[in-house]
Order: sequence, then C-alpha cells, then structure tokens
Amino acid sequence: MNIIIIGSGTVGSAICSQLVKEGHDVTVIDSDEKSLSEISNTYDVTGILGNGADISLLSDAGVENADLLVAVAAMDEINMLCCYAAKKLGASYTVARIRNPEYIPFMNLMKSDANLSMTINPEYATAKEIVRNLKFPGATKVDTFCDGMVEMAEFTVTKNSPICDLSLLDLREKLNIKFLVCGVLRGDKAYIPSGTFVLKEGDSICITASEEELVKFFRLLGGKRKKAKHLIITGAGRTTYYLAKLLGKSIANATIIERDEARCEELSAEYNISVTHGDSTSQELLLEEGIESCDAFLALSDVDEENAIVSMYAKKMGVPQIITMIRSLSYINFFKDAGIDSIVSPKSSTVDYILRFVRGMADAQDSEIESLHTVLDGKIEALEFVIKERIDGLTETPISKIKRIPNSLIACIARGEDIIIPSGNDIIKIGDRVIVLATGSINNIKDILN
Amino acid sequence: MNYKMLGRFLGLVLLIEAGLLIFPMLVALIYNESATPFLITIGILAVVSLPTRFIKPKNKRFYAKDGFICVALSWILLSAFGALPFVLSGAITNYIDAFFETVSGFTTTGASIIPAGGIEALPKGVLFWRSFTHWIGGMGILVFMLAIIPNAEGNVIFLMRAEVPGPQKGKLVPKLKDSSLILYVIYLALTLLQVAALLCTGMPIYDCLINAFGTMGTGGFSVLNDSIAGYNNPAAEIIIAIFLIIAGTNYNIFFYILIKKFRAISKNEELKLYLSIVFISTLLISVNIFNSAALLYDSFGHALRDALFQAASIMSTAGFTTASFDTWPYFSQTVIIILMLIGASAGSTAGGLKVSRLLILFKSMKREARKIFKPNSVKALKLDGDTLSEDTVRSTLSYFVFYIMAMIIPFIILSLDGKDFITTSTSVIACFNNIGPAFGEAFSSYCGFSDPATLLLSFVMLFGRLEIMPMLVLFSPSTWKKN
Repeated sequence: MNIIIIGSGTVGSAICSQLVKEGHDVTVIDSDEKSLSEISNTYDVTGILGNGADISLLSDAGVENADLLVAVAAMDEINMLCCYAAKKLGASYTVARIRNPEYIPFMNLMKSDANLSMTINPEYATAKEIVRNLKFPGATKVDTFCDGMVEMAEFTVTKNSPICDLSLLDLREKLNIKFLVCGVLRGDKAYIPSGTFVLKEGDSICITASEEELVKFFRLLGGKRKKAKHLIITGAGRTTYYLAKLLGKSIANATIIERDEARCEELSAEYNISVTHGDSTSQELLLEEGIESCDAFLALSDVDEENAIVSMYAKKMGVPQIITMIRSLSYINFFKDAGIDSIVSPKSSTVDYILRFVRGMADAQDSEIESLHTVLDGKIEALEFVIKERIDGLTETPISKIKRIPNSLIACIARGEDIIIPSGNDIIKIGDRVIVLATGSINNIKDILN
Repeated sequence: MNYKMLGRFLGLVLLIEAGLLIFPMLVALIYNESATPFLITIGILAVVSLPTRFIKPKNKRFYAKDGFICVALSWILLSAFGALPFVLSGAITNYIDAFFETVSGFTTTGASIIPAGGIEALPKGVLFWRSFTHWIGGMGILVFMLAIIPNAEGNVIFLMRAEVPGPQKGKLVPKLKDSSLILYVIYLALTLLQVAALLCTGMPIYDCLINAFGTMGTGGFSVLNDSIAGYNNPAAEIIIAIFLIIAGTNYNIFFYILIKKFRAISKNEELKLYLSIVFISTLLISVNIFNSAALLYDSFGHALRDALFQAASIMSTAGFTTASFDTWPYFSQTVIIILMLIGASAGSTAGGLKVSRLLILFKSMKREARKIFKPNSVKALKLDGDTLSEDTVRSTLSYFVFYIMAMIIPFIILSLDGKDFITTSTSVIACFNNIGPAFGEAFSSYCGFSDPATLLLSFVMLFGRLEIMPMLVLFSPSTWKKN
C-alpha cells in the first residue's frame, strides 16, 4: 500500500519501522530536518521536508494515490488539517492522532462532513487499556476479541501460584474453568504449548477465555482477591481524567496524588473522587494514603522516571497490581528489565492501534481480519477471522484433523453468543469467528493450513 | 562492524559478477574463441562466493560505515576478479595492468593500459568484457543487486547512498528495490535504443553493443585503435554524441518524463546549466580550432562536429575521441580540462564534480560574498525552486575540499614516476573524474606508467567513481580499530 505518514517523532518512526517491514511504500513528511533525515537514513522510505498541511507538498508526496494517510505530528491542529486536506485531495483513508479532548466533538463533525476514517486519542486508548487490566488483577496485558466476548490475558507464573509446575492437561482437569493456554514466553523464546507442556516459574503465559471464565480464573489464581477496589493513582494528567470517566462510579474508591494544585482542584470539581495535593514520590505520603493495603497502584504522572520509581516502591510494599505509564518508547525495555511488568504507554497504544488499522485494511482485500493483537512481547500474533465461505480442510473438519502449520493454534471459536474453547472434536462452521495464534505472520485464515 | 552481513553482501556481488561473465563467454563462443578464461573466472568466483550464501547473520544491523565499506570492498573485489579473464586469455600479461584495465572499466573511466594500436588485435570476447564492465559499473553493481534481490535484508539504504553520485540522494519511489529497478529499466531501455540507432548507420552489431556500453556507462573503451574516429561515420558520431549527452543527464529527469511530471523538468536548474555548458563549450572550441594557426580544419561544419563530439564525450566523462584534442590550441585544451573537472549531472552514470555541486558552490559563494558587505543579510539557497538544507550546502563545500585533496595527493605521488607535468596532472584529473584519455603521453594509452603508478591510478579511479567517502572510510585506520 501507499502510505503517507505526517510526523517523524517517536510514534511516526515506530509506525514507519513496522510498515516498512510489512512491505508498504512509505513516505514521511515532517518540518523537522533532523528527525526526518534520521528516519529516512534508517528506514527504506522517502522523506519530504515541510509542513504536512501544505497542499502543494501533499500532492508532491502523491497523496492522490495514497491508500492511507497517518497524521501523528505533534500538533493536533496540523493532524486535523492534514487529514482534511488529504481526504479532499483523494487519499483513501486517513488516521489522525488527536490528544486534546476538546477537539473530539469537532473531529466527529469533520468525520461525517469530510468522511475522515479514524481518529486516535492516545491517552484515551491508554485509559481503556488500564480499565481492561484492572478487571483481572494479576494480568499484565489484556486484549479483547469478538466484540468483547473473548478476552486474552497475559500474566507471569509465580512460584506460589497454583498453576506452577503443572502440565496443561493436568491444569484443565484440576481447575474447572473453560480456558486455553495459548502461548508461553520462556526467556526469549515464545512457544505455542501442547497438552504436555509444563508451566514453570517465571513463564509469561497468555490465556484465552470468555470474560466470566477469566474472572474466575484470576480469582482462583489470586486467592481471595477480588476486583481491585481501592486504587492509588499518582498524577492527574489526561489519562487519569479519561480513566475517571471510564470507571464511572467505582472511581470513588480511588485516591489521586497530584503535585499541581490547580490540576487537583480541577479534577475534584469534575469527579467525585478523593484528591491529595502532594508529592507522589514521598514515601511518607504514599504510606499515609495506604499503599500497603491498596488493591492496585497506578503510576500515571507525566514523568516516566518518577512512575518507574514509585512503581518499584509499590512492588516492594506488596501491592498486588501495579500499572505503570511510560511515555518514552525507548524506556519501556529498560523498565521491563528492571521488573516493572505491566506497562501502559500512550505512544505504543497509538502505534498498535494504527498498525492494526493498516493490517485490517491491507488484509481486507482477500480475507477478513476482524482484529489483530500481538502478545508476549510481540512474539506471537493473535488474529480474529470471520469464516465467510467453505474452506477445504478447515470448515466442517474436526479440529484434531485439521493440518495446521507448526507453531499455530486455533484458540477460540465464537458462534453466535457461544464461546467455544475448542477440543479435538469441535468443528468450525461458516459464520463462525475464529481466533488463531501463530508465531509467524499470518494474513489469511488459509495461511495456517499446511 | 557487521562482518557477517558484509560477507554475505560481498559474496552476492561476486556471484552476480560470475553471472555477468556468462555474456562475454557467449560472445567468445560465437566468435570461435577460447571460452576457458571466462569459465575459469566463473569457477573461481563461484568457489569464493557460494560459501557466503550459508552465512546466516543473526544481527542484521547495518550502519552507514558498514555500507561504505561494503561498497568500497565490492568495487575492489569486482575489479580484482574481473581482471582475471585479461590475464588468463593473455590479452594483458601483467596482473596489475589487467587490474588497472578492469578498474578503468568498472569505474567507467575508459583509460586503457593497452599500448596504442594494440586494441584491434585482442580477442572479441575479452574486448566485450572490457566494455561490458562500463555498462555494469555505470549504474552501479550494488544498485543492480538491490534491484534484483528480494526484499533487501537489514538496513541497506546506505549501499545505494554510497554508490549513486551527487550531493542529494533521493529515491524515485519510496522503496529502494523499486527505485533501483526503475533506474535499471531506464538504463537498459536507453542502451537498447542506442544500439538500434547505431545499427541504422550500418555499424556491425558487435560494435554497436560495445559503443552503446561505452556511451551509456560514460566509459569510453572502444574496439578500434582510433576510438570512434576509426569508423569515419558522421551519423554514428552524432548519435553517440546525443546519447553521451543523455547519459550525462540525471536519471530522475527520465523518470519524470515517464510519469509525465514535466513541471519538475522545467524547473530543473542542473539540466539547464548542463546543456548550456555542453553547447557553449562546443561553440568556443569549434571557433577556436577552426581559426587555429595550424589550420586543423578546412570546413567549420567538421570543426563543429568534432567540437560537439569532444565536448559531449569529455563532459559526460566518457572519453571517446574523434579528434586528437591533445594537438588542439591551448584555449580548447583548457576548455576540455575544465569540462573534465566539472563532469556531468548528479544521478547519472558520469563522473566529475557534478553540475549540481557546481551550482550549489556558486550559490553559496555568492551568498558569502554578499555577507562581506552586508553582514546581516540572510539568504536561503534554493535549487530547483526548493530551499537547500544547510546540511547539503555544508557537505557540498566540504566535498569540494576533499575533491581537491583527492587529486593533489596522488598528483604529488605520481610525479615521482618522472613523467612531465602535463601528463602527470591530467592523468590524475582524467582518472579521478573517470574520463580516460589525458593530455601528453597518456592520451591514447597509460602503458608508459610504472606498476606502482598504475596501481595508484587504479585507486584514484575508484576514489573518483565512489566519490571519495567509501574509499576513505575503508582506508582510514580508525575504521579497523577494535573498540
């Protein structure tokens, strides 16, 4: 596909790197010479220096033949203008990053008027991710499939966990829960496990189940622990605002610590919430706010280092669930190595979101990818397909008889309202939604057939 | 340094060379000559390069430095192995001379070591290979490699940067592979067009191919002792002159024609200046040689024909000759030396400083002069209507310094060989700018130089073709220091 990216910042370059790898023709426009030359020196793309909202520049970049324009420049206004202009000039699809919540209604207006395809609000996406994670205490990452009917959660096996040192077959017998372990990350290597696979301490595993079953699973895993109620949140930035909005009434049990007094007042005026004005890096204050007894600790301030440090402290104090927001993409791996495992990042959410959109677009031509997530550090891809027609060797064939490529798995079948965690005798019917996992790249459901 | 990636790339380059050697081998077979020299070379190349296909680099990171070194080593190795057929066939007995001849071919210099009058006696297959190296080296073998390998592994953009000449290196389309492919398709189409045009003048097909390789690669090797003059065919001379001018044009122009972006052509300053220089120098030379005291020409038409051919041939850095310009009046010789130094357009197959660099240098000179009497003036430099980045201006200025140094140093060393001043200085200029014939003793052959001198000149040609940096990186000690 022909893709134009406006903005060569961290998000622009992260999107660029992946799109080039997937073989798209990418043109990047930015007015900052330094970051632009860096991007065009590193990736196989064309760099054009200038303002992305400049009509003549856009047509020089070949916007009329572009399949997609991604606007991730620093300024919302530029992104909006770019998308509007690109659409008028003939680009097929546009994606704009809009961070200022005040512009969202405006964008909706423009969406219907100028037929814009999609906007992404990074902080809102992050807040949504946090809400998903909070549902399952212990999970480090949660993705949803089939319109929210199926959940896929990642977590790390600890020594005292009831599932440690069990084979998957034993696990299924022991726990009366319908779920499937569909991926294991041990060290650097990702496995799609068979029934005899034994889980070990330190494995990151990825499981699929319906929401109720997954709640049951995590309850079993965490002993008596219930859904997180008492939250401590540091920082009252945009993400915290959206989080408060999404959590609705249950935010009443949260304590927010924010250094800026004006922000504190603003937040408490808007939501029924307990706000403390103070320095979140003060141990004294954290103890006073009850870090020892809270259910979850969310470090969402604007300063990455601060988030990392207070998260480490929270971990030491034994907080069962800790979510850390890291803005800088380059920090993420450092902090992961330092033991902070549940990291949310507005930037990587944006990147994931846009890549998913591109994949969906590219694949829509020959098959129907409904959703796509990468799990276990991006080592395994999970895709949801809709089965529209008869496929020899796949539909109406018992799962155990389907000849799959190695390192692939049919993780779940959704038929109407039913969620089937497939065993060997289940069959795939036309109209089903199927979730497939593989360590390689899959673009079509037929790709998993050997 | 990523040695595994480097090994893999170099292996691939040599494998491609082995493939390309099949063409001269076929020619040798057609003319009932011995194909063994080529067969042996192909065998050696296969033995050397095939094992590298089994190198599986884990780390595919490839930085600018690795790219430069890869390009520099590829060119040296290509020439080192490409010289074998000359030695094996007995056409050139001394290996260093054969290396010089091959470097001269790949770098599209066209400077020959074969003694004057000795070319026509050589086997046709060897002569075909000699000119075919022009065609391969013209657009660049790594560009060719990038065009044919399926999705380039790792970060190979630096390979193209290091090989395609010019101050600004843009891709035609976002993907490197597609860009390289487009370049080669244009190159091939123009070459075939020239072959067809030359066939119409009654030239034999073998000579048509050789001359088209020499023209489009802006090389200048010929199969006749007297170069193009030996044909005594005015129509062929005009056709070659036109295609020389075409070969010295930035290939982006042809791409714009293909995609009908005529606006971009009309505002291209380099093209305008390039054509102006060719035509103005043609006029100056023709008037000068026609009015010379030695009564060289009896009709102005003939003088104009020779002047046009020589101007086009020297400016495009091919170095074909239809007249002994070393006997022309001094003014014409000066014009020719200046043309040698300027060279043709960036993004073409030619050598030299490049017209676009000249434009940038002039513009920044003008700006600096203006700053002397108006110290606070600010002026952005524009090329083709777009503002030039200060980075480009700075790197062009520093390239100019490197350019001067890269000729002065070999000039000093070469003068130890004891040749006269004119021969020594113009040999370095003609080799560095990839022209071929120089003035004085080196007009038709470089056979008078000693072995160390020919080796030095071989590297001067490589420095010139790769625009200094790749070779400089290769030879700088800090590159090889272990950190």
